[in-house]
Amino acid sequence: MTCSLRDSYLDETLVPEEGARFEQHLATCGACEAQLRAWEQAEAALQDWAEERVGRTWRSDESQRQAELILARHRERHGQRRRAVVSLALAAAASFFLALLLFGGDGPERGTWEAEILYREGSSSEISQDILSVLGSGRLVAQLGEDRVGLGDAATVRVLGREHGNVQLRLEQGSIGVEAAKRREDETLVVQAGDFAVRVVGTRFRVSRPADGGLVVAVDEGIVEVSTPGQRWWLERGTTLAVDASGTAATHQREEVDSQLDLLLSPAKQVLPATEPADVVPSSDVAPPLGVATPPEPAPPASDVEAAEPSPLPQAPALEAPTPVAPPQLDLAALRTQLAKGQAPEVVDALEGHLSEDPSSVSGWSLLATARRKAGDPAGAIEAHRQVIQRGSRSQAAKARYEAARLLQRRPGGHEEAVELFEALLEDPGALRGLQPEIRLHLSRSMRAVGRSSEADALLQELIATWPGTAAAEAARGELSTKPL
Amino acid sequence: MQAARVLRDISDAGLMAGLAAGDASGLSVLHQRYAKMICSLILRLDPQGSLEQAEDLTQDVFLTVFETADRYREEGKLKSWLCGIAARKVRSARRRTWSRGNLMRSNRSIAPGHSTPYEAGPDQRLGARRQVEQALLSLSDSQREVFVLHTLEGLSGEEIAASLNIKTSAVWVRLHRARKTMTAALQESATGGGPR
Repeated sequence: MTCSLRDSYLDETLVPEEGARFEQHLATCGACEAQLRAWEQAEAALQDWAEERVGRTWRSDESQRQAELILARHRERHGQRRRAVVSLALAAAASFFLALLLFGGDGPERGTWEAEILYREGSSSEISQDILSVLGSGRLVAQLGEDRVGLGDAATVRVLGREHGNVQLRLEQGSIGVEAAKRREDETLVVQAGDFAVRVVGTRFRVSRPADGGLVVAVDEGIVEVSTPGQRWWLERGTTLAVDASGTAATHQREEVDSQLDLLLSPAKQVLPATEPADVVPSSDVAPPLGVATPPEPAPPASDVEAAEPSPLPQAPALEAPTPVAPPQLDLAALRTQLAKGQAPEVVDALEGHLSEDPSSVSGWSLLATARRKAGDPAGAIEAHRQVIQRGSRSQAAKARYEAARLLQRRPGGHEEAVELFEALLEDPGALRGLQPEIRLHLSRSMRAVGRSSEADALLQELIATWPGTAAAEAARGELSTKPL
Repeated sequence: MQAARVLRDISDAGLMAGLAAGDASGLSVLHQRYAKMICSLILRLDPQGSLEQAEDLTQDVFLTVFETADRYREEGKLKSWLCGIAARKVRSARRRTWSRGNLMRSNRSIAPGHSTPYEAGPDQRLGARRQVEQALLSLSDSQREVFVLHTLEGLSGEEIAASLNIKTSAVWVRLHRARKTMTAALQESATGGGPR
């Protein structure tokens, strides 16, 4: 019977007990032993062959060219010409504005531009050919062709232009939610808003102009590009960007959908709260200035890597919130604020209570790891990171691996596992692109601790050669020069 | 250039969401991330195919990615999804070649001018390579797909099942048969019974 486990053994799908049983069997079964040896030889030949059978590498400009060729083929197939993406023109414009661009897919019906009012609530509203406006407190949801626009308190939207699928709106004041239909490639939806340049590619987003200036953009689907001349951010789904009147910007990752957007666009729901949710109020104390958004950030010390949702964008630390809004379930923003105020044990209690009921929140586990670390429970923090590794996306898991490995390095006997975690990160360099030098530096230290000094040296040399001038490379130089011969 | 630099940091899922919404700007980034892997996979799925053919098919894969991005579901790994597309491209290219009568799969040998991504090595190396290619060619297309995806690309049974739209049990069955055939073919060629 044990011979039947042979294939599963090769597939590495046996549970440990079965694996051990098969290995015992292997010592006594010549047939299995011969089969396994034959396969090992075959696999070695195959691997040699595969190593030579490697595709070419495309440089980034070649990939760009390939993308252009692919799009040209696509246009050829669909008989369409595509306009140049206008984002560069937008960024170069003398004045800032907000532009929301959508394209792709089948085009909406043409010529259905009469605003169809789906829902109206509150004191009064103005609706004309060119203007949709809520006067005072109230709400208005209108269908513009295939696109839906929802207006909150005192919001005014002017329709600047519309021609087929091309729409240009201007948000004069207040907040709007937009649910835009897919468009043909050569059609765009553009929204201007105040003094900011934003390009959005997606289907569902909110744009708000706070009364005291600035801008808030919350994205629930697709990607948003926010730009000022010379600067851009890309916001993924679940990201909210807040820029205050002084130009100070902060981004925040949400796990939940943007509740205000939901309210703006859904006719049946209640009126919006008048205040912006606490987690997106920019604070000049903590938010990075506009100018620092796009350059790659120097890697933070591991202990400072925030356990928020991962984002390719500069992460704002937890923001102080004068009036936190309490979502119905886990209010991560409020907990982050609490954590920033030094109430780690309380945050741990709250998160543990919630996660024992509903362990599915990856952001919850991530925040719990940070809270436990701050509460002086590194073992608990590592455990929470393991949950993120198990449940999270690739980038969430990568971040958790890094954090867990750094914590393990400080624990007796933790270097073995730290090496494993760091090595896993090396295998997926795209996941934590900004921390590649640091990963090598820390990995080399753990390798040295477990007696793999020559590999550690090789890593440091690679680090110095690949990322010269970084702090990690400097540290690596020091460690190479001081190591005992 | 700043935008491109930031774009490069966006996750696969984010870029795919952009493509699904019609934003093509992430395509070059995805190409940069996965083109080499796809090209290698195609070369392995079609052991006698040339690098030029593999490059063409790689472009076809990314065209399909762009045109069907809205069908991508985030719960699956992008790599598996791409592998599935690549496997189907290779299969359909092979069908086209067959229909033109150009592919003499059995007993075909590598001609000196054969276009491959690597330089011809010493005879011995060429011989070993040829043995592996012949052994791979002794597999059926469906066996080879599963075998290459598992053994060389490291996909799990579940990932292969999802990418090829087959049951996981079928993955294991094909893999076991492929492994047996491969082992036998390589042993046979090593003992001199292989194709000449």
